[in-house]
Amino acid sequence: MPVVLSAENLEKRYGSKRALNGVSIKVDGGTVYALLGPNGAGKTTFVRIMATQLLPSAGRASILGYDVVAQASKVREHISVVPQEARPMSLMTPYEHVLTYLISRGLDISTARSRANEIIKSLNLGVYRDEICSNLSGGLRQRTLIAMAMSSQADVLVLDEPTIGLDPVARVDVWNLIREYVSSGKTILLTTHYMEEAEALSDKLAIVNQGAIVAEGTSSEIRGKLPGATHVVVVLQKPATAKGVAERIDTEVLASYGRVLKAGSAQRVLTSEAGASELANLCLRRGVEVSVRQISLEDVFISEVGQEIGGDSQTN
Amino acid sequence: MAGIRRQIRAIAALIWFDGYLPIRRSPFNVVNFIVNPLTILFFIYIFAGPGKAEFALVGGLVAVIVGSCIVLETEAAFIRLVARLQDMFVSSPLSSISYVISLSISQLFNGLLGIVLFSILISVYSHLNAISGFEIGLAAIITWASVSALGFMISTFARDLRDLWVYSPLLTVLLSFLPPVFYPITLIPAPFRFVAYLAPTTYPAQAMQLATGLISGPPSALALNFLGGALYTLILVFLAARFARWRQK
Repeated sequence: MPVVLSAENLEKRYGSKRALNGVSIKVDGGTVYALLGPNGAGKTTFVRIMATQLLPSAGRASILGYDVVAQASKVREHISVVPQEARPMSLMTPYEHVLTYLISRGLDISTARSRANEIIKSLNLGVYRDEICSNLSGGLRQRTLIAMAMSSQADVLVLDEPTIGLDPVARVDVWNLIREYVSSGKTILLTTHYMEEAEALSDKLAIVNQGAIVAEGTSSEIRGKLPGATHVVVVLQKPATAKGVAERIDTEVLASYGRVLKAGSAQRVLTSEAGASELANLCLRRGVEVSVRQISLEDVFISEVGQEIGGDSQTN
Repeated sequence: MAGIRRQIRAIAALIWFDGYLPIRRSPFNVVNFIVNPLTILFFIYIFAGPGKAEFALVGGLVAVIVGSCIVLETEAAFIRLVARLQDMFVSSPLSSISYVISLSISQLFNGLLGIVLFSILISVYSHLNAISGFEIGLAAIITWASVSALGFMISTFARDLRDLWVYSPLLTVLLSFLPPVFYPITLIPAPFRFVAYLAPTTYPAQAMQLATGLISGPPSALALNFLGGALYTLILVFLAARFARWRQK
């Protein structure tokens, strides 16, 4: 698939503050590319530049070969966006939203009507077609916005935190919509701070922190950035109490099994499968709470950045 | 040509969405925009008699347009900051001009009842002919354009909707009730009349008073008021375009 979206050394400065610091990515057509990172990492700034809503301070970016600065009007014909925390107008129905959006994009009324009905049906909004949005749940409102964007059949869809605030069922619904859209050969650029969302949806992803990409690739490529480690042992040591000192395992002992990351009140030991099994047994023998799982993107993030997504822990 | 047709269709769709549908769903809203002008008409009629009440008809028409259009400051800010739908339109083939025009026309739906009512009353009591009718229409358009541009410009400075809540009632007073909209400018002492011309509504209100024969002046007076109103509008449109946050820097 040819490259549909690309950015080279994209920078955005607000005075002395750098919101984006030389971001470069390439996104192939017909794929989902996710930008994963904590709040304030620069994800929204990046997608707003790509969506022609914000001018970059330096660097170049293009969509389908059109420069997002110099050829913004061309870019706009090929993209559609769902901004972060957008919400439909309360007194209007999902159908009215989609219809208005399509006509505002230049479709004639009869085509817009039939396409609006089509998308409302295919996104399971048929029952709510004529219900005003103030009567809809958060998930249905978000689906209304996604219906607007998807109804355009734009080549590139930009979704900024499309599932924020949704319950798990509604979130999976949105995931399915995204998968269906991409299956028709379209491209999606999305931002999220949910690890499982990035893993479940993206063909390729970038972990963003403080305006820069700290890791990029498929989720398995990114997990492979921790050499020798396949598993994580999460050790939750009890603090000492007035009754006596709780049984603890020294950090030095933990470090003998692999790299130790401190994440909140827990310690994460990145180790091999055999090491994980051995350490888990040691913890159980000493009555220390423990869990074992495979390496996740969050572990890579903590390892690279020294901080949890949404947290402020540090590596030891 | 096809591009222009597309933009006109887009404007019509957005007016339907942002102007017609909200009024259809909450029709009582229109009453809000007519109560104050009717109250002033009532008091002028009671205290000054039917002759002076004709000033209140002209003033009422201007005040209804001001009241409904100045709401654009809150509406545009709401769509940009709260609903965040403006960004969806920015990242689409819709032009910024079409967007602003459609929001501006949409707000007129708020005052539609008042505009129709005061227009009928003016035409009945002022015995309008085609020319004076056209002049009143032109003055009404200048009022709409200048107040909409002002409303849109103010909306661009808002960081939060609460920044704007105080402005609509304040601006309605400053644009409709204090300037010579409900009364002739000659009631203001001559040394202070220049202050009245700081309000963009003074020019179209004067033009309407001239067109209906409520005040008289040299033949150039009407043209000068139209010219002043149009210039003021152009300045406000320029400033609104200058500060508009369509694509941010």
